Amino acid sequence: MKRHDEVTGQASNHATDPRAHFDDRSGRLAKESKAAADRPDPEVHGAAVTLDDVSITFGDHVAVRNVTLQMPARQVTALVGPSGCGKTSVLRAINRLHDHTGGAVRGSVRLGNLDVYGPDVQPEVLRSRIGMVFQRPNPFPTMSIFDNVISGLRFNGVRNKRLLREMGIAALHNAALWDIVKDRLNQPALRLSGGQQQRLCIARALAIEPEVLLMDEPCSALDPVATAKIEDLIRHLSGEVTIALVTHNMFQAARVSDNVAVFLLGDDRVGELVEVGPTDRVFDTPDDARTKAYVTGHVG
Amino acid sequence: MNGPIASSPPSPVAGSVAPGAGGDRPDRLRPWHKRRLLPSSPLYAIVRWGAAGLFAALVIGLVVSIVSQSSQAFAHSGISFLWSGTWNPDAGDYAGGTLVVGTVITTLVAMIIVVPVGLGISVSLSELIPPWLAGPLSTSIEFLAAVPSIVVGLWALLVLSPVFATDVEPALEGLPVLNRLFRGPAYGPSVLLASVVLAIMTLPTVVALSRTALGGVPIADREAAMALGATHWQVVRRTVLPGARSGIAAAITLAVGRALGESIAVALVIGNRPAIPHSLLAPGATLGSAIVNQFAEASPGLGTSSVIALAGVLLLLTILVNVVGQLLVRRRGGRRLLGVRGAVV
Repeated sequence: MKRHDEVTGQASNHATDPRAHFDDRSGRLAKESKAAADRPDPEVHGAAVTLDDVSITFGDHVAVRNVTLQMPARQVTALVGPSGCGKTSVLRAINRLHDHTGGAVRGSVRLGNLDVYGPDVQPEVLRSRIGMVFQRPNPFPTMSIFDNVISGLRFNGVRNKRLLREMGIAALHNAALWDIVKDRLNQPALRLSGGQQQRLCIARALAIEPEVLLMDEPCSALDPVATAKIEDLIRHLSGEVTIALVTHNMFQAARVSDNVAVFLLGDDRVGELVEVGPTDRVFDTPDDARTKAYVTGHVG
Repeated sequence: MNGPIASSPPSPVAGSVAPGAGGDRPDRLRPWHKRRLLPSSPLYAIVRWGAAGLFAALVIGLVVSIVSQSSQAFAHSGISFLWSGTWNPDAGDYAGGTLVVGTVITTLVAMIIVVPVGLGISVSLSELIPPWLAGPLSTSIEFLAAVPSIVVGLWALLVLSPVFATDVEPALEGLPVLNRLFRGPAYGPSVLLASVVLAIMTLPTVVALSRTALGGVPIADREAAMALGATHWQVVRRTVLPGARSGIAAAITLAVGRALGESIAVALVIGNRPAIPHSLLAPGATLGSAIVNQFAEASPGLGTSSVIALAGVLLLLTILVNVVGQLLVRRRGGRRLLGVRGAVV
């Protein structure tokens, strides 16, 4: 809630907390509210996302194995490592995007206390609690800028026009995009520059007020200036939302993350997690020799 | 892999134009037919302009001959040949009005049937049915496109028409409200049967092209929606269908073009009565079916000229449809941006 009031002058004018309306959300989210109440506060619990001995396979190919990792709530956890070592696969396991690509996830993934692959979990409901930003900006090409921002809310059953407007504006403020797009909210999203499109995608992900934001190399298609803006945004958002950031850029990880998980390819070309810890510690005094070689630029 | 062809040493290819492959001599020292075809060479210009010119000449020649040969009919009936008057050579009436109406009605009804059915099938094939089943299914639908129209027409006349006369048409007459469209008597051959035949014949076009369009929507767009909590249906409805809009418009345009021009199958099942049909169960006639029925027995002079005029009208209609289709395809997602759903703020 603070997030709205601090960052957005305008959105704080409304009399009530937008989340108070959430009971109005028809259908799927309302069903979820009980589960939400059962969930311990991630701040108390410590980890927003917990992976326990997770292995991901595509057919016969093992992408990554035996990953045990905790992502502390309201911090940025960077997943770093060379290409093909399973960082993105791990990220997509958190919001069950492997469900439709034929990836098999073994082990336990928990969001707060919720078993992500539990028998009663509906993937759509789960994903409405997790935002995701992809490698390439992918705003919906047939929608306007504003329709893009509120598309997730619409998917989740929000119908109230005033609420959509308020939450959309708040999300644009949070993504530091409001001043750029406020006069052209009804223009096609594809008219924005690449960096702006990516921030629009971040706004779209923030609009559903996720507990966790997954970012899959969000700057890999952007120029340095746009990259710097996204990094500013990540720093700004940490402390408000739990962020899992996949990057192959050591410097980016060092700049924006609180914790870092280093993935490398094992001898049999299977990705594995070699070290995880606070960013400063891992970069300054890595425990693992392979990490040391990688972060100092000798490998990968 | 180790067959005689693969294992034999690569032999120099005679007449190859790849640099270095045809010998060591530079181009200017080779015989003319072994030189590389550069954009600056006269041969290149001849081929290029020749191909384009031949194509243009064919189209222009077709149009010119139709216009000139139909001039007698237009002199007789005036330009209103296009929209009024009836076609009754025995009474000396040579005008295309009723036939244009018949063509538009049969095409429209066919599209009302085929668009929802075809889109439903293509969405099912590309989104719902598992690939191992969708592949054979779509192959069998595309096979339908290869069935000659005379076969479809004959089947409709001999198999479908009796069923229509005894079961389908009486049932339609019994519908509440809608029965105004379906006033009897139920013969079998009718505007409705012709429309159904056209729907069957255009179904593969609609399905194959829409399915390609749906499959062309990037995975990134689908995953963006999925990651926001969209259900499968929401992904299809809000992302895949809008993204495929221009391809679907192209599919429908092609189907309309085919339905307008289809002649033999329609002539077999429409009943061939050149009057504005009072009901979908009444017999009618289209431009194509009238041409099929008339071209052999048209009297020289005005009769022949009028048949060619019908062909001209048909050509005009199909060109019109293609132009409109092109505009629709080019508009690409513009509609929503013009404020139908926007303007939230």
